[in-house]
Amino acid sequence: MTPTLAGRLQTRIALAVVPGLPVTAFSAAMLDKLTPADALVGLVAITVVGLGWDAAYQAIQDRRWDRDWPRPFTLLSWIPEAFGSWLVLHLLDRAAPLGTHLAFFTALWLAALAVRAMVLPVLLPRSRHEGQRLRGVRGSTSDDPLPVADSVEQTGPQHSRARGFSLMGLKPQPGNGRLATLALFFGIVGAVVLLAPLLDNHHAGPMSADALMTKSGAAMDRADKNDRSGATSTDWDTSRRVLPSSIVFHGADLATTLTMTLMKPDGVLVTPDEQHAAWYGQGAAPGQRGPAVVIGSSDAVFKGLRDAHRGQRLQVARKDHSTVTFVVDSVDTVDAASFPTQKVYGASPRPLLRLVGYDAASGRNTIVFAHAVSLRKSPTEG
Amino acid sequence: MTITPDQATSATERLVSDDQLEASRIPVTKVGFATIGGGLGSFALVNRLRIAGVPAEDIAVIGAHHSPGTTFFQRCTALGLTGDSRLRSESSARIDNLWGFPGYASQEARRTRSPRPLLRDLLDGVGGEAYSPTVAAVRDGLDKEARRIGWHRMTSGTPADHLFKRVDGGYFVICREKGKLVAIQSDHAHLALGATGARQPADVAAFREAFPTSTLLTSPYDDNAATLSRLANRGGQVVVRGAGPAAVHLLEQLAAARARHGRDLHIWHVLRSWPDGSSGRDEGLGFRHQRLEFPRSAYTGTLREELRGVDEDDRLEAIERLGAPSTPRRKAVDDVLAQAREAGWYDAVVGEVDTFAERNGQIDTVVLLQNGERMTVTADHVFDASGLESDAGEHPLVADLLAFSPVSTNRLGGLRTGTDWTVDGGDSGDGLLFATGRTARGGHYGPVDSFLGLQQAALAIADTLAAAGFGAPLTPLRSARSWLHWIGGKSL
Repeated sequence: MTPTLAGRLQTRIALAVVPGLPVTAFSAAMLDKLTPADALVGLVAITVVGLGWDAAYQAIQDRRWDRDWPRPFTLLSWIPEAFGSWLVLHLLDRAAPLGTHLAFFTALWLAALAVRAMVLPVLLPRSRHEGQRLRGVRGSTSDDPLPVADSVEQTGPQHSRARGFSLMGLKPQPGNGRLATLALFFGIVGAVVLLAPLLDNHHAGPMSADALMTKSGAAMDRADKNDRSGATSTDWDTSRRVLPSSIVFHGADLATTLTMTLMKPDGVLVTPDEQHAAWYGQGAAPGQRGPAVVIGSSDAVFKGLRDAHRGQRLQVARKDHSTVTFVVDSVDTVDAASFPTQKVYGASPRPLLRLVGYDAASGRNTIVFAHAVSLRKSPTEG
Repeated sequence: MTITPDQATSATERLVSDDQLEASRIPVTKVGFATIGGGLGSFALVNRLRIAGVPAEDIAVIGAHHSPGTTFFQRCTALGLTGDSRLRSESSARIDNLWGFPGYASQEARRTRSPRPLLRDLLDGVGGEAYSPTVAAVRDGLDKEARRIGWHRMTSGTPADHLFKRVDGGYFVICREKGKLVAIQSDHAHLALGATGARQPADVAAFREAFPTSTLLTSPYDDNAATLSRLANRGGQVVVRGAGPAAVHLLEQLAAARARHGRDLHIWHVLRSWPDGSSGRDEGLGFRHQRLEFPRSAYTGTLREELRGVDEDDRLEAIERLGAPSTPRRKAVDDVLAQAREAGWYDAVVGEVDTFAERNGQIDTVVLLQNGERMTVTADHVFDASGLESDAGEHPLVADLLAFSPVSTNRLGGLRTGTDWTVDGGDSGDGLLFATGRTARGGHYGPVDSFLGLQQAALAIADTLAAAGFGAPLTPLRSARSWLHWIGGKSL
């Protein structure tokens, strides 16, 4: 049955509760990489993004000559909604891996479709006649005048909108209106699908294995704009990527060479050997804008990290023989379970450094947050 | 002395008291609710009331037939539709199932052990010929549901002669039983009278007056079997007027007769306009192609809401435009017409019919063409498929109401109704008078005369009645329980 905008929105919100919540709980239990908290955030994001899509669908529907929404369109809605919600979660840094997200979304989507087709008409027989509206169709008449009032409200602005069959006269839709609508629909879908990897790749550097750990271009740009007004400024080129060679931190009794490490496919980041620290090569390099992350074992090489404190200085030597000096902002000790991903890996236009000491036995992480203050050019250059 | 409109209506308002009936020795039966018509419109509403628990004794169905589908299926048969013919409807518009689930398509898929009906239903509006239920499926389902809700216990098979407002509120419905008048007193009443017959445009009426015995002009709802077989056996010229499904079905029948008998049968198809596709609708060869009688959003979507919001003049104009004659696109028909054009035995004539006249055993149709010229087609027979009568006032009971109460009709011939389907000026004390189906044409809803429209009206009216203290609202729990009863075939 042809839905109305009010009907679409009401139905979506109701379906987010039932069957949305049970399916979310079930998915969190069944899917390994979906924590209950992330699943709940996912449900909220999927619903909110879906409300936006509903408005878009309705706009397309109103452009069709008979202003109808055939069922195959409802099936096609899987594509924009599944990828759209993943992108939004990705921007919020709460996205599960794409496969997990798609499985979770599909479970929600199928359950909602089934309930809408088979349970809603049985429980609320009037809703299918009222454009899928749920309010005022519950069999009580106290709400009865509502649909009329609703319709009057909605009639006003709609008259001015361009669309197919209107009461104000048969709209002469030049050319093939149906084709144009389909093109619009697929255009939006295609744009979303095509833009997804682009967004991911926007920032220079190798592809990330895990969405949680990547800085997305959009977030970066946003942060860029926010910080441009700030007083921070550096007098070297922070877009240059120079690999680090060693680190010296007197305050923590630390002097070691740096190797590069990459994240394993299962999402774990470890150092090649206990005696040396390693730089996370998928993130920024020290001195480059964004957070550079250096990890090491807090039993061995990063033993002194917990004694570090705010204001201390440390130096990172780079492969081009230049040295970047950082100043410690804060020192934190956290559980691995409550690792502050956003704080450590979150995008920033400033050159930052994070030293992460991990203790495999206790699961505690000691994190030193620092920012770059100066760069000494290599003797040959200067 | 001048009479204001208010005084005029109150002066002619006719109320009947209990004493008057007693003095006339008319026996009175009391019920809570009476529905006049006894067809599908009455059935949809009674079905909803019974499902929510109204006992059969509280409902009176007043109509000429014992079965709710009699008139509907009579018209199907007259049009030449058999049990296997497909109606112009959709799967979830189920007159025998208030919830629309499961639909006709899934029932047919189960019966034929084929996913085809479901697939066609799914692709409705996108590609291919959409699913429509067969006449037999609708009839069987309707009979079953009528038995389940105890239809025969509520109907007496006698048509209503009059509807009077009672002095102390409520209504009297006067019927004739075994030659004597009887009265049914009800708190609330409902009119769903349907069409009285085929429409008679002015030109047809003039022809009937001039040639009262002529059989050369018939409507598709008349018995045309003899005419069709005569045309098939002898050939000749035939005029078909109209662009709706009935006209298309006639064209199909004539083409089949021509192919079978090989006689030279020439078809002149008279159309009022030649749609050029500028409306965005699929239009071609003189036909507007549309899946259902109205654009789909007029049933449940935004067009429906907009119709509710505009005033009467705009609404009537919109209903006329949206509900203009149209027909679902079918490849078989397209092929037949294309062939016929090529072979030269089919001609479309675009214009208004001016007059019909019988001459020497043949009938002349004078058509006023769009360029202002007149064209005369001499034919052996004319089929006038210009639709069913839509003027509710043609029904004697409504004509009586119009004369003696403030009830009025609109330009399209329907009673003026409110958005809750109550007839304007029809209430009597606390009693409410409702109208649905063709009787409410031109009200706030476009496709009143459809399965879906009748059910939508029934759901809304029953809720209004529940608020007025008759019957119960269909709460989700009650609805689910009733649905389980329906699935299990449990008698009410």
